[in-house]
Amino acid sequence: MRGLIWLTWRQHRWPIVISAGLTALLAVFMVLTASELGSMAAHCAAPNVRCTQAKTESVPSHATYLMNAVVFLPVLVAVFWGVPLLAREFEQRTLPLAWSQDVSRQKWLFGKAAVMVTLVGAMATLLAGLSEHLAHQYRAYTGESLFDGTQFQAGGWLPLTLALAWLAIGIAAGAATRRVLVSFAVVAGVWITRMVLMPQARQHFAKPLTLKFPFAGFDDASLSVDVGRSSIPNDMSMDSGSAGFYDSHGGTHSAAQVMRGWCSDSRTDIGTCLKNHDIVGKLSTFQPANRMGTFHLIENGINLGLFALALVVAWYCVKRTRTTVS
Amino acid sequence: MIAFHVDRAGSVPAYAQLVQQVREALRLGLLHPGDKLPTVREVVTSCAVNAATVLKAYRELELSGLVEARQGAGTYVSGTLGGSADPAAMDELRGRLRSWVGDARHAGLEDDDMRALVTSVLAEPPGELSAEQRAARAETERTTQTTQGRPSAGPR
Amino acid sequence: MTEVAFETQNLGKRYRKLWALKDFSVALPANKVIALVGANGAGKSTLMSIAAGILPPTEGEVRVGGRVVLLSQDKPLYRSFSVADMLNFGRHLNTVWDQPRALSWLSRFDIPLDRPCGKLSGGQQTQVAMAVALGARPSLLLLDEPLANLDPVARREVTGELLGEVADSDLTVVLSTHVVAELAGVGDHLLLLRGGRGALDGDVEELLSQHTRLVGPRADQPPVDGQVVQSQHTARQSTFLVRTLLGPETPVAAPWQAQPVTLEDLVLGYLRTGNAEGEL
Repeated sequence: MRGLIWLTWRQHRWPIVISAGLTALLAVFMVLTASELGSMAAHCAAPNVRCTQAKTESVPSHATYLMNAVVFLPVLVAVFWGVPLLAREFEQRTLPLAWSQDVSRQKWLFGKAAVMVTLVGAMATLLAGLSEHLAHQYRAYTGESLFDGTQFQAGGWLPLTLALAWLAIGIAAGAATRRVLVSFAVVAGVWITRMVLMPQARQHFAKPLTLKFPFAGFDDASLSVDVGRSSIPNDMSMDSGSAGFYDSHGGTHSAAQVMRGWCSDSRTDIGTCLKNHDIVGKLSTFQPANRMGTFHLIENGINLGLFALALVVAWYCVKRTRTTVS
Repeated sequence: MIAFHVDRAGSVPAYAQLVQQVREALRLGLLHPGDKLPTVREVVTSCAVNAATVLKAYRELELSGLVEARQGAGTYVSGTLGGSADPAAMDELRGRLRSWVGDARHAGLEDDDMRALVTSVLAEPPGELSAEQRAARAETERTTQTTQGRPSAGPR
Repeated sequence: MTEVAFETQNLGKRYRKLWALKDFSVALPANKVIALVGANGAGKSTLMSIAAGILPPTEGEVRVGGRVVLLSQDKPLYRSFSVADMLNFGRHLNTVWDQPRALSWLSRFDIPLDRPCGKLSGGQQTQVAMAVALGARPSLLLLDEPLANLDPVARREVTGELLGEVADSDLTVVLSTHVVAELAGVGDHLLLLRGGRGALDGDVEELLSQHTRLVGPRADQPPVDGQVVQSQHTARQSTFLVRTLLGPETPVAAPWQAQPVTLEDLVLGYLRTGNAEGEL
């Protein structure tokens, strides 16, 4: 194993060094930003102080960048750590050399992968811990839900399992395609697919709740102001501007029906239009905050499943590789 | 010390080339009794021939009494060949060969023709001598006896 | 009894429908230089890969005594590794490693230890690959035309040093090559493959003493009993390459002549026969 540690270091020292540097840099920024957000939140919480607490201010937007960076890093792990492990050896035809020493293919593959898993795991654990902390400070200041998009992905140790999964996916892509550039394309494709599908899938990990929120008055009925929502501050909203409405008899109507059907005439005031159609409140569909832990667990499980599956694929490809010309 | 070389293009086996080169060196006086031959390892690396080839050549030389293997010390020249025969006789033979070559050239023979002639004469069975050969031999014996009295003139 | 370095029994390897090696049984002696010759596709690389354990045979058995290292024609190296790192690689990934042996090989050819392998010439890369192969202390070293891209002088030097290693240790070398002319004096033992089968296998000296070229007037058969390896005819003359017990010492009646053959004659004779059969 000592030999494989040396070999992994010698072959991948640049990604290792650069990743370690980047991790340290990110960690420092995250600690500083989190502490700044924390003191800003504490300052606003004091009596007689009025704060705008907008997420567009510079410090909270820095926090968003940092959390997004942590969420994005796994794809870089796939590209710069995972793919070269096999694809570069295939391209440079060095596998016959690596596999003709006293170390078996199996030990070679899993030994090198283990070294990488350890290193990536250590760096990702640090970043995942700090990003979770940062997300909490971000919420403390801006009041944004922890169950939403970036904050959700930055918390619950998701960056750790995601990094491990993508390390393995990179290795598997390299093993299957045997070409560095092709592997990059495969990794990018799968990553984009994940970015599109995962937020959709995540909403359906459990059956969402739908609650009725009566309008306090018709003046409030404009869609941008959601009156009742402040009572459930840390959930995962699934409305995305298309929540339905309900009338005084309990009947529900889709947003399209109401906004584009009945109230599409711009000459009529929207409040009057809703009143004319007996609309008394808005529906809201969401995942409640108490499900967040379970959701993190499910997504971590998916990541670890992908990790294991990708390693099996890589092993299968390695096993059936012929290093000789026939 | 003799430096071997092996010619792979010819039809002479590698071991025979080594034997030939030692014999030639002995004849030409490049090797003397007591000289050390290169070790097997040295010949193997310098000529790129396998150890068995070198060992076979050395064994053949040993059998013909030209070299002896000293336990753990290497192989040493122990015998002599024509080169260390009586120098006066050698000079005499060389002189006669020179005049023979002159005659042959005069008769229009090329170098290769002469070589072929020598080879064919050497290949003849050493049977009954012709009258001409007998005369030549008698002549040789006579001149050899007379030259023995004189101090050697040619360089050794 | 000589020791056996490598032994096969009814070995066969099939790639889809094609048998690259079929019904192949051989026992190669230890601490010898074994010349492996054959036309392209005769099964040389397949045999070496099976011996090295990187290719599973389709049928039959292989027995190898000790450690095996295969050095193939493309001699892979890590381009970014320095020469010293390539030796570290060998040391770290092998249970047995002989650093002085690897270093002395490199110093014999003046290879700079601190240069990245990617910046070395083709010949120098061959030397590094050889050093890594020898450092692993193989008892059987399989060389699949690794010297092909060296110039003749370097090839001679490497062959010489390699033969020196064989003389110094219990190493057995199997040398596969196209350049038959350079095998004279190099190979102790000849193994000739033809169409995936062993066509000729034996001690080189012994084989040479058992073969002769018979030249004489036009005839359909040679004037002696024996296996006719190859025959050539012109209008007035016939030439036979014959395997007989006495070889060039075979007594023949004039005007026939029995001539000794070189290793190259022998190999080419057997390879040409194979071609003729293939064409029929």
